[in-house]
Amino acid sequence: MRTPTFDFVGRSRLWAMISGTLILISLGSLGIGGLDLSIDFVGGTAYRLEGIDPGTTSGDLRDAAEDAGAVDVIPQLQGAGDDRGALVRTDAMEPGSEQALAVEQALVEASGAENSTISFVGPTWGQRITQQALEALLVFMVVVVIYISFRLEFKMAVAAVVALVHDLLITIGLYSLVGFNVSPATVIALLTILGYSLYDTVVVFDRVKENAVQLGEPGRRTYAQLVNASMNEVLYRSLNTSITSVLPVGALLLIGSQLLGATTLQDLALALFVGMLVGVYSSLFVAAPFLSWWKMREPEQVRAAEREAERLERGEDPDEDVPSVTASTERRAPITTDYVRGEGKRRKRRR
Amino acid sequence: MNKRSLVATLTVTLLVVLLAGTYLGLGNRPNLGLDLQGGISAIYTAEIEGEEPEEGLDEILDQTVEVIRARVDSLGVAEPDISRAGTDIIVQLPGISDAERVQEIIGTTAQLAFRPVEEVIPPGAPAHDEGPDCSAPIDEREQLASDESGILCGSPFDGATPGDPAETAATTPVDKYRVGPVALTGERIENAFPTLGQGGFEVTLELDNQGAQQWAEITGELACERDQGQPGMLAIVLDDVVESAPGMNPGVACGVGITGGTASITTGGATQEEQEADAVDLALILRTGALPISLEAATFDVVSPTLGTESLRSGLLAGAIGLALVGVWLLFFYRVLGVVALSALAIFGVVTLSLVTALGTVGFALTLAGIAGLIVAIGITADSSIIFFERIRDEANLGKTVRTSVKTAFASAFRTNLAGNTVTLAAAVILYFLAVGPVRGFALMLGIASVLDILIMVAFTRPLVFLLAGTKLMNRRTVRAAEPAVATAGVRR
Repeated sequence: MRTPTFDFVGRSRLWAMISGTLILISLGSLGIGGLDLSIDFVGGTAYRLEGIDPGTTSGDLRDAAEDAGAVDVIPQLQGAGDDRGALVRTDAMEPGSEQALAVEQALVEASGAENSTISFVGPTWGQRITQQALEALLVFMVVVVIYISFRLEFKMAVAAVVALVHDLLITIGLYSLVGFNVSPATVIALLTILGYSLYDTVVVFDRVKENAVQLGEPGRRTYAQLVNASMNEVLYRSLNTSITSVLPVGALLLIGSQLLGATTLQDLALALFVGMLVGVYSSLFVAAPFLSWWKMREPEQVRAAEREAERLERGEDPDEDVPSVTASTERRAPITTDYVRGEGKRRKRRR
Repeated sequence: MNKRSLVATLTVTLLVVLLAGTYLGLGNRPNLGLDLQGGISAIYTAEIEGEEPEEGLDEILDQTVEVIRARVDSLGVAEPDISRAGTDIIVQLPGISDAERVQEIIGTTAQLAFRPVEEVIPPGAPAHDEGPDCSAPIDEREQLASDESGILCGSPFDGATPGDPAETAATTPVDKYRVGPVALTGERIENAFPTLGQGGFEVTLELDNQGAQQWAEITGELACERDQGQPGMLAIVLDDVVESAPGMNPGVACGVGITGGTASITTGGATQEEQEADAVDLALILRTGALPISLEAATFDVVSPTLGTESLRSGLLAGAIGLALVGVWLLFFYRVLGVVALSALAIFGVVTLSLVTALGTVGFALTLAGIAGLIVAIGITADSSIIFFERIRDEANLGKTVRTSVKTAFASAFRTNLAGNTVTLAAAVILYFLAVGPVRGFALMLGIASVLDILIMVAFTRPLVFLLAGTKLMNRRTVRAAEPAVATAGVRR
């Protein structure tokens, strides 16, 4: 039997503690440090340069502004020929402050501008966009709950949304903790994570639902065991999918932003990278254990669990009559566990 | 499904891909966004009429930014960059090289108001000589303050572009209207959209709370006037031009008016097409014509990309390397089936790129965020194949023949795929309709990706794997062969 037998549900207390800690850290960091919003959200300082040297590139302007202490630099060249100018936007600086003047000075020197003006520039990503994006998010969650309830079942829908919120919180928390800049690209990435996280959870739950037909056939399997078995069945899928999703994003992160120095890609790739890893974790260790914990509180399941416990006491093999759902907690193979957890001491698995 | 129809499906799919490939091969490329290709930048200076409202000026400017954004958005997913700099408003649109187009999109100093009509003055009537000269350009005409009564020009009948000064300065004489003070301004409008009602096309109007109250009052008064034989019309005034002056329906009661905050305006026009065009135009005016201040276009400039080509290049390179890594992994893990999965990915890439290119002709611009979205879609598309292949292995391990395994596996894998993609699609549709600006472009990419994913699964992966199941390339052993490799993979890594 090649299906791994990893105990996801049985250790749910451990996962809950890990997730709980991560969420608490996230919330704490958000509460204390907040997020470092880019000028697209909060506005910044704009330097308008007129009559610059024709040979000036946007790279020159960026370097000059950054050397003078500006961050979040967005240089843009304007016009053509003799009438060339540039618009350089940076993070907000006090008008007339030493820093603002230093940046202006540096820009003028780098570009040979005849004339320059400083002004405050408002956000391009306004309050309204944020608000509408949040509204859209809420509507989406409601629709998802309805759809999953209809297609699978209500408790699964709630579990999926719990996992989703979990993923978003932890990803945002990491941004706050490390002090990464939050740009519109980050928001787009978070929205992608949302789709990805749900997709992953739905795939796992779909298998649980499919296997649920066998639950109680011989009347002997608890919901926790069913969830566990289903998850083990789709474990290779989950791992392979994660690998194929994370590979391109990892490439984007490393090659795009580190090797070639395109820092804007970093915002996007990092959020995606973290979000996807958290998404995979949550579909296996948050959504499913949560679902199982909730279902096990149903009276029917409580009775089944009691019967199961009695049977164990009598020393019977609980899997005897149910060959269809393949794995169970009792047949856990430590080797597979090592493989899944990615620790160093892996041994070759025998068939 | 028999072999012949499988081959037919596969052939059609490959033909579509060939078509898409040719389209790209002919040199058609996606329309790139502001961040990647630059575009045109217009700076508008706000002109505050009358006494400058120090209080709330910021708010008005912010609202103006939103109105401009709504206008640009209503014309397609152009991903504009709109921001304020002092009292200036900087509007940047990607890839548009001529300034006139920008001017056309953003329009002139459109301010929308509703005024009660006291008298309609047709050309030739004695009073028609009074009031403004309707053949003069709008900005040279006398302006009517919001609390004044006076005479305004009607809009020409030829369905001129709203807010376009060149066309509104009509050569043919138009109706003039004697109107009362402003009863309601465009700011109170929440939404307006064309609908097909019982009597033809109409525009449905949604007002906010205060607007609903004002609307009920004014329509109630106008209904009384109508009962007394007066016009009883409400003029929709854009920039001191009466765009439309609908009368009160018999159903509107005197003193009660239209309550509930929604109303519909039936549009004119002889044919249904004309009615529809009128309704669409009017809805656009109502929806976006509520600039609270007037704007003067100060400068137009071509601007360079904010990111530059090096970002685009490294993004694409990263995508290619990522794809190659995914390819290696799939081949290693699934052997022959890995080739199928890779082909599905290639098809996804070609078709998506050509769709994005085609959308570019109607204003869609691909930004770096969009490219990242596509790179992510690689993972999601690969997942469809993975679900399917894992299922085949499950079935084969239960001792079924390859053919049976493939069939059973597809049925359940496709159900899963559909469930997952429906959720993604729901996200895309909701984000597209409820969000604005950059989020819309992203939603569109997401939607396209999830629909394509489903289509490729049905029209490519399925027929190909079904056909392979009958060949030596795929037998019980090859399907199951990867298992020991799995364990080894875990050890070697």
